[in-house]
Amino acid sequence: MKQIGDSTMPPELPPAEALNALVSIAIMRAEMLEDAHEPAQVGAWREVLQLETRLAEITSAASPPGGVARAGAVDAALKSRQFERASRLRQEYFEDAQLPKARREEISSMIKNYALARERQFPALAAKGALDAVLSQVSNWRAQMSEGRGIFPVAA
Amino acid sequence: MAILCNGPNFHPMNLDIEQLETQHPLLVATPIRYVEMARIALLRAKHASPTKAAVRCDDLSSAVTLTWDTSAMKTLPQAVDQIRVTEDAAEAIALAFVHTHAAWRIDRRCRRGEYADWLLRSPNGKRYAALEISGIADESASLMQTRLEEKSRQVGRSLAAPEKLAIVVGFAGVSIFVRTL
Repeated sequence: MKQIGDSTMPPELPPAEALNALVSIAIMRAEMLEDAHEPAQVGAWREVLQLETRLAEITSAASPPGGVARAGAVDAALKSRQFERASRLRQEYFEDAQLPKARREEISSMIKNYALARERQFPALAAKGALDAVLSQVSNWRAQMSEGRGIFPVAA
Repeated sequence: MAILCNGPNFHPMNLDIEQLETQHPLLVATPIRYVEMARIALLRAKHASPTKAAVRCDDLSSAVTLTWDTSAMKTLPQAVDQIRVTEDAAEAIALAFVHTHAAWRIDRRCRRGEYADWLLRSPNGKRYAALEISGIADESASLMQTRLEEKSRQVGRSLAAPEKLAIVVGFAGVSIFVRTL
């Protein structure tokens, strides 16, 4: 398999095209890991999220690439288990009047479906109204672990 | 993407698979070796370069000549996912077709929820099309048509771009079925 950053990466691509190349690679990798049910898919979707949000910043919400990037960012936030981030992105993107109605409906539907699936998965927490708080703590813990502060010390 | 199947633009042509990464520079960076997958799928179906491929583009019929470097692969690799080969090789041929025919290029990959594999961009950068691709290793005309209907319905749901395109590639006889929406 070719690797990101290897000598076959086209060096002459302008920034938007380079981001398009990187997000394409990141999506392919995340979907491969998802198909293989690998836990590493969460980190791979986090990388997709970073790239999609950067693409959303440099594209118009009304343009096809802008819509793809914004929906992709929300989807990647949910797949990397960052529900609050997904909700914040929805709010941010919805403030842009140029975002088409169909994209708004799609993004709302993604978040609603994710929330319903979460409530079905943790019915007791949902009934107590503690779902957001507990899952937020778990999400923060996961993020800390993935930043390298593992349970066991790393040998120098 | 009506230009693809219309009038003077739709004529017999040569699809050189080896040019794929020049046509679509983004593919150089992806983890899938599309050109190699196309060589494997064509060799597996016992084709030799050049090979004629029948094309049905909406209501028009035509043919293209597929060429590739046969010296780069003379025997089939054993450890390959045959379904993956068919799908990736179909992507290679479909992407070569859209570029050779209309000079459209890949803008980016779409996630699965977009109901399309690729977002394409026109030569002047002002138009976009959503492209959904499928491959069939041992096709019949009816199977090709059925798959094309499925893929057309799928890409028809896509919000990625106003213009939409479904392409199905069969490898037994080599055929390319295209539907523009």
